[in-house]
Amino acid sequence: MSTVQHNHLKELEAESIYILREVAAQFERPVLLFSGGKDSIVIAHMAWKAFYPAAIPFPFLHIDTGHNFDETIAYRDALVERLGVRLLVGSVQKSIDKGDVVEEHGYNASRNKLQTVTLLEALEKHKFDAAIGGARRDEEKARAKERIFSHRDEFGQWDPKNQRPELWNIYNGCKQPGEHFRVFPISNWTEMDVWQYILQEQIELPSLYYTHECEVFERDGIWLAAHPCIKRRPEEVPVRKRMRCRTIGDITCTGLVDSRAYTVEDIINEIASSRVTERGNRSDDKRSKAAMEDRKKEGYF
Amino acid sequence: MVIGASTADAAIILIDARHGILEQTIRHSYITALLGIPHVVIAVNKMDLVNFSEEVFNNIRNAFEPVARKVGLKQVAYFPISAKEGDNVVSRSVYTPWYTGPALLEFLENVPVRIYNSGEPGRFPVQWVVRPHKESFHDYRGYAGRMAGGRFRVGDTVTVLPSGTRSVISHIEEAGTQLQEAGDFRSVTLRLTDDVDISRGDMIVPATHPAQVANEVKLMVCWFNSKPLRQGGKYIIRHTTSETKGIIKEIHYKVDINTLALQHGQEELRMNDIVQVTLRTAAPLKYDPYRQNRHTGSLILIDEFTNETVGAGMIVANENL
Amino acid sequence: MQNGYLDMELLRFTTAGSVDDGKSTLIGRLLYDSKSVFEDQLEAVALASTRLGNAEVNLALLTDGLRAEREQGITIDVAYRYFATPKRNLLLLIHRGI
Repeated sequence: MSTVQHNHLKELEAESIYILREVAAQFERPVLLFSGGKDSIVIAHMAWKAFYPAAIPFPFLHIDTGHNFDETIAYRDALVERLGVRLLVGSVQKSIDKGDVVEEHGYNASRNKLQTVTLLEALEKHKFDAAIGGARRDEEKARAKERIFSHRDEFGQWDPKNQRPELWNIYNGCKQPGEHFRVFPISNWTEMDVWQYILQEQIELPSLYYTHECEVFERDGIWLAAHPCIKRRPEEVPVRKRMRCRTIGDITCTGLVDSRAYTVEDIINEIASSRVTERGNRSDDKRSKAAMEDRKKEGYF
Repeated sequence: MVIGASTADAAIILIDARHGILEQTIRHSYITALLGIPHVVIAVNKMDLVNFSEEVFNNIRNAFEPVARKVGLKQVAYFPISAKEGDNVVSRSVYTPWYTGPALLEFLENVPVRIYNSGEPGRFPVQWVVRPHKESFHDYRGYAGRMAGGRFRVGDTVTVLPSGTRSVISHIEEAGTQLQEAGDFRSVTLRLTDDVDISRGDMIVPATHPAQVANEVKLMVCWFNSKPLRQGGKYIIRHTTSETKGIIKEIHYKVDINTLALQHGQEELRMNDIVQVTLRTAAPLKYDPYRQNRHTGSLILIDEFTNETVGAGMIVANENL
Repeated sequence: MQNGYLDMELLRFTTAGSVDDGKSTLIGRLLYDSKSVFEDQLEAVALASTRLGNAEVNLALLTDGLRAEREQGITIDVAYRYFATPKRNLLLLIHRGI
C-alpha cells in the first residue's frame, strides 16, 4: 500500500496538467483563453507547472469587452509578464466599430453575449486550432455534458448530439482543417476544489474576490457595481457597502455578495455553508435557463 | 454505458425487486466486468413495493451469484433499497431489520478508492519532451507525462520502449520541486542519466518488468458507430500517448451481452456490439493486458475520414499470438 | 475544514439500470439527501416539476440537463455530477445506460 500522502486535489491537478500537455502535443496552434477570473488564473498556474522549466508553449488570449474592472486588467498584465507569455487581446469594442456585432441598449444591456463574435474572430485571425478554457462541469447543466476535448465546427458551433465519446484518459483531437477544439482542463473541478487549490498553492488573486468597500446598487435581487458602463434606472440609487465578487466576469453581469471574507480560508468557509450556486450570482445566466446552452451553440466558451 | 463508465471505481447496478434479474442486468454486469470496474453494487430497488421482504431480496441475491461468477465479477455488495422513499440509500431503514449492512451512501464513502502501489510495475508514457531554450537550463532534457501505474524512484534502472535503450532515472520533478519518487498517477517530469533519444509516444518502464511490445494484439472492442466494423477495416489508433494506424486483421467472435453466448462467423459489427478481434498496427504498441493495467491496456479507434471515435479496445492477455 | 478536505479522496461511480428501475430517482435521492443540491437548482427543478404536473419535487429532474431533456423528463448521454459528503468527494457518471 502507498505510503505517500494522497489527496484528490493532487489527482485533479495531475489530470489537468496531463490535459494541458496533451493540448500542446496534439495541436499546432493552441491558445489559453484568459478572462482574469479565478478559473483561468488556476489554469495559468498549472500551465506554468506543466512545462517548467521551459516556457509555456502557447499565448494567452483575453476577450476584452471593455467593461472590465481596472484591477482585472492590471492583474492580467502583471501575470503575463511574470510568466513570459505573449498576450493577445480581442476587443469587443473593435468588433462593434467594425459593425460585426451590434451593441445592446437598454437597462440590461451587456457585452457578454457579444464576446462570442470577437472570440471567433480572434481564433480565425490567428488560426488557433485549440482554445483552452476554464469551464467546469459543476457550474451549470449544459457544462455538465461537455467533453474535455470539445469539438467545434468551422463556425465555432457546438452540436450536443455530435460530441465524441471520451474514454479513459485518451483524448481524440483529430480534426479537419478549419475546425478547432475547445479544451477544458478543469472540467472535473468543483468551485470548492478551485478555492482549495488556490489556498494550497498560495496563488495570489485580484483583491475584488475579497471583501472591500464599493458603490453598488440592487437590481432583480442581485447587487451590481455602480460603474458608468451599467445604465441605471432613476430608482436604482447606488449605496456604499462592503461587498466581494464571488465570480468575476464583465462588470455588467458580475454580481457582488454582501459577505465578509478577507482571506481564501474565509471564502472556503463561506462556500461550504453557501446554498446558492456560483453561477446563481451571474445575471447573464439568469436571462434564460438555457442561456449557457444557447451560447455554447453559438460558439461561446 | 461503456462510454460513461470507463473511469469508474464503482458501479451500482439496479434491479427492480418485483422483476428480479432481467437481460439488462446481465448486460450491465457483463460491461461492468469487461471495463474492470473494481467495486460492484447490486441495488435491489423498490423494496417498498414488495413489503421489504427479506425472502425476495435473498432470492435475487442467490440468483445473481452465478451471473457474477459467469461474467467474472469478484466482489459484489448487495443492498435492499427504496430510492423513492429513501430506505437504505442515505440512511438505514427501519423496515429492513434483517439487513445488517450499511446504507448505500455509507458504502460509497468508505469503499477503498484506487489502490495505489499495489505492486504493479511502473509505467510512464512520455507525453511531452521538455527542452527549455534558456541559458540557466542549458543541457536540460526532461520527459513530461503522467504515471500510468506503479511508481518510479530516483536511481531506478529503466528501459525505454520500443527501442529497448537502458538508462537510470536521475531526477523526478514537479515544476522545479525534486521528488524522491513518482506514483499515484502523478504528472511529473523525469530526467535520465544518459542522453538518449526519446520522443512522445515512447514508454519508460522498469528494466526488470517491461511492458509487452507487439504489432499485433487481441482486443475486446466496443463499437460505437453507425458505420459497421469490418474485417480489413483501417483506423487511427490512439493508445496512451501514441498514435498509429491499425487494421482489423480478424474478427473472432461477438458477445451476445444479453445471454453471454459467443457468436462466431461475424463479418460485420454494429453499434453497441462487443467483439473480440485481432488488431495489427503500423507502429508497435507498448502495453499490458487491460486486466493488469487499465491505462496501458486500453485504446480507442478513430475513423480516419470523419475523425470520430468509433470504438474502444481493451487488450486481452495473449496466450499464443 | 481545509485539512480534512486535503486528505479526502474522490470516488468515481456510475449507475446502471433503466429509467423504470428508478435510476434517476436514486441519483436524485443521493444528491438531495446528501444535502449537496444547491438551493437555486432545487428552485429551478420545483418550477419544472410544477409545469410537468408533479406536485412534489421530482428528484429525477435534478439530473437532467439540456432543454430538450428537461422538457421530456428523460436523461440522455453522459453527464457528470459532483457532490461531497463530510467523508469523501464523489463524482457520479450519468450515462445513457445501454
